[in-house]
Amino acid sequence: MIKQEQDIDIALLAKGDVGLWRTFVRRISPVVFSVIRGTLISAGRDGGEAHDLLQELFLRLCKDNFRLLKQYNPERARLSTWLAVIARNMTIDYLRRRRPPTISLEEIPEQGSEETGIGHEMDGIVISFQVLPPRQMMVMKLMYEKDMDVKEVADFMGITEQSVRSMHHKAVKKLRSIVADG
Amino acid sequence: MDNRMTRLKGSEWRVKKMWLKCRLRRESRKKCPDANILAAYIDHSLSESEAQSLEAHLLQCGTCFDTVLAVRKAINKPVDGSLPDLELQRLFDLVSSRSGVWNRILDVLAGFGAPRVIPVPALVLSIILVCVLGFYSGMQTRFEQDTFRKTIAAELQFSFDVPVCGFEILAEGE
Repeated sequence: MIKQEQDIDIALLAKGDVGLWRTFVRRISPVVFSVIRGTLISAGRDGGEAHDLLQELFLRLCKDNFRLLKQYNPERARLSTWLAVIARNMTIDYLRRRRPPTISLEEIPEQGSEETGIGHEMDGIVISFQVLPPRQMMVMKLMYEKDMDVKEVADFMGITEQSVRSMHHKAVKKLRSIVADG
Repeated sequence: MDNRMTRLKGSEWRVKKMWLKCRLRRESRKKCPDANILAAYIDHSLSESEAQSLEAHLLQCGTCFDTVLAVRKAINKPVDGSLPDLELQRLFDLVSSRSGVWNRILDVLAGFGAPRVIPVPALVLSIILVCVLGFYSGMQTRFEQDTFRKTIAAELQFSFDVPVCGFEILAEGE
C-alpha cells in the first residue's frame, strides 16, 4: 500500500464535499500545474495556457458525476501522481489539437522518439530484450541518453544504487561480448 | 544531470559510444498502459515483474517514457500555480451542484449496474412507453367491453343501448 496524501478521502471527494475539494485543489495544484507548464514549454509554448488547462482538468474530474475521478485506484498510486499523469496526457492531446492544420496528423511524430527506443544509429548493433533484459536496458538508457548519474537512476527506477551498478556492470559486459563477437 | 556529460571518464565515454550504436529490435508493442499503472511505476509501487514489463514498454514508447520523466521532475520540483479566486469559486460551485439528490439517485442506480449516462433518456423513454401502453390497454379494454356487450345483446336480442348486467340477463333468461 502506498502512502496517500493525508486528509484526502477519495470517496468523499467523489461525493462532492466542497470543503475537501478546497484542500484537494490547494494540495494537488503545484505538481499538476508544474507538469502542464513543463509540457507546454517543452513543446515551444510560453506556458500561459497552463492555468486554463489546470482548470479544465478539475472540471473534467467533476464531469459526469466525477466519472474520471472514480477511475483512480488508490491501491496503486498517490492521487497527485495519478493526476499528474492525467494532466500530462491532457496537455499532449491539447497540443496535438493545436498543431497547424496545414500538416496532417499522420505526418507528425508523437512527443518523444517513437521510432527508436534506444540509440540513434539505424545501422548499429541490434539488441533485443532476450539479449539485454528491460531493466538493464533502462539503466543504460537513463545513464547514457538521459545522462543521469547512479543516484538519479536509482531514484527513477525505485531500486538501490547497488542494484543500478550491478545492472550497469552486467549490461556493459554483455554489450562488449556482442561487439567483440560482431 | 547536466554536468554528468563533462564528468564522464574515458571508459564511460567508450561505453556511451557503444550504447549509442545499439538499437532495439522492433518488438510487438502493447498498447499504452492505464494512468494508474504509469503512476504506480512513478511511485515505485509495482512489483518487480510488473515494473520490468512496463519498462519494456517505456523503452519502445517515447510518449510514455517522457510522461514518466516529466511527472517525476514535477514531483521533485513543483511550482506554485494556484487558480485565481474567481475560477476556484466557479469550480467549487460546480462541485456542490454535482452533489445533489439526483446524483445520489444515479449513484444508487449505478450500484445495480446501470450506466450513469442512460438514466435521463431511459426515464423519458419509460414515461413515453407507459403512456403508450396505458392508452393501448385502455383501448383494448374498451374494445373487449364493446364486443362482450354486442355478443350478449345479439344472443339475447337486446338493443345496444340496454345496459347489461349479470342479474338482468339471468332475470330475462328465467
